[in-house]
Amino acid sequence: MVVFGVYVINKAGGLIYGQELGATPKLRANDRLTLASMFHSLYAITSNLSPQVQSSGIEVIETDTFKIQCKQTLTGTKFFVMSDPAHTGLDALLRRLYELYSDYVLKNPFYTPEMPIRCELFDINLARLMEQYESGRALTATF
Amino acid sequence: MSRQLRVPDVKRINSELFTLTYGSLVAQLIKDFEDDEEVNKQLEKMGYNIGIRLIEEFLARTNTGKCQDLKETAEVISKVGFKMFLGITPTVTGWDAEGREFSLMFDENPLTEFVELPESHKQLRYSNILCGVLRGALQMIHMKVETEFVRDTLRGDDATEMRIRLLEILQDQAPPGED
Amino acid sequence: MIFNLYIFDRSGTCVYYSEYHRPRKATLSQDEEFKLTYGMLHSIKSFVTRISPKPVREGLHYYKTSTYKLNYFETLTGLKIVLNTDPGVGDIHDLLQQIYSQIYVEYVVKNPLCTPGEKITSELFETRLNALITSLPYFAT
Repeated sequence: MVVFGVYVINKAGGLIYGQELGATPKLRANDRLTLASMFHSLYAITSNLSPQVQSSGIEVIETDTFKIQCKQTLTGTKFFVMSDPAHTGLDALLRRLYELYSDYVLKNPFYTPEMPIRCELFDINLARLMEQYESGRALTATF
Repeated sequence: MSRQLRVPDVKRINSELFTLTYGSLVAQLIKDFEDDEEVNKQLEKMGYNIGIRLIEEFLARTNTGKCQDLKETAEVISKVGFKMFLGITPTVTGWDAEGREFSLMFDENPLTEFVELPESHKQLRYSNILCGVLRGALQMIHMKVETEFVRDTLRGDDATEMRIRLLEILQDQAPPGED
Repeated sequence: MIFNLYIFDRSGTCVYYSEYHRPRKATLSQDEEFKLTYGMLHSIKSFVTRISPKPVREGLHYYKTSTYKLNYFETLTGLKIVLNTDPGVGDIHDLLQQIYSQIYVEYVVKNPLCTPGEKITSELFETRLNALITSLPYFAT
């Protein structure tokens, strides 16, 4: 059960947080930005092409080498996690990620919304969350 | 996880009928075009048209995945492809230093059973259809190759050898409007 | 539930399209929709190749949104079979493989009157395909 990376995209499609985890090869900053905006556009197009009414964009995408699970909040911010394809249960992780964001990023008065996240507390708690997750302990919500 | 290269069941037709059909095709082409080189070209073109369709049949039946390199491709062509369609397994040899060229040596060839080339048609590449088939099939899986029979027992050589040269790997075409 | 099916050839031409259930009517013309769908698939493939931590072999299997699942199958020859279903449908890789090997190869590739690069007009192909799709247990539910 390996998580390869965690990413946060703002409403405009800009990457505000991106981190490859563990042994995953690190992407260059430019590549990360390009991939984030690609994902943002794909999200919009897949929603438009839906044969059903009222569709969201991509929530899960699975290939032979990875799986991405994405959650777009009602505010338009997207969180996505990339893991190995056999992975299930990324829902809980995504929810905790959103909680961490709303705590250590949005409640930080010195953080400007939509800008790249440079909050140490967010990093520390995210690392703690990933450690907890990798070791298989249950992820308990803080509220 | 190992990929199983099973050769699936094929419906049988009488091999003599096949040899006769091919022979009469070549004979008619000779009559129509009169020039050996032109017939060679026509056989290659026909082979190409077969190859572009045959590859789908091959992929559908054998469920082969992507090959890692040309060496693997050559083995699959010989041990699965030729085995499946002609019941023979030509030997893969003659690799060049860069691994972009190789030869298939044919010990037997169902197309040429009972055939003898007369003196007047020494330029004829009787089995040239096979060159076209390989070229067409490989083209469809994004490999541009050159194929040619460099030796042929029908023309008096000591062996039948097809040389295959990889020219380039073709990229997937981007749709219009994309870069 | 099965929504619709697209088959694209290696150059991006939509050679076959079939609609089974489609609650949301298309906002674009059919040609525009084909182009957009193919362009999107091309972008997803590019995205997948670039972001994948390991070298990609088969590539995209599917993606899911809140209301549909796009199931994808691509052959080595660049033929792309796309089947949109509701998100609850499981892994149908085998079905797509079957559509390719038992219907496309049999009734299109082996039909000398079907020219590569052109729309598939074979009635036999259509009949067999519809028979297969409508026989699936999750066709209408």
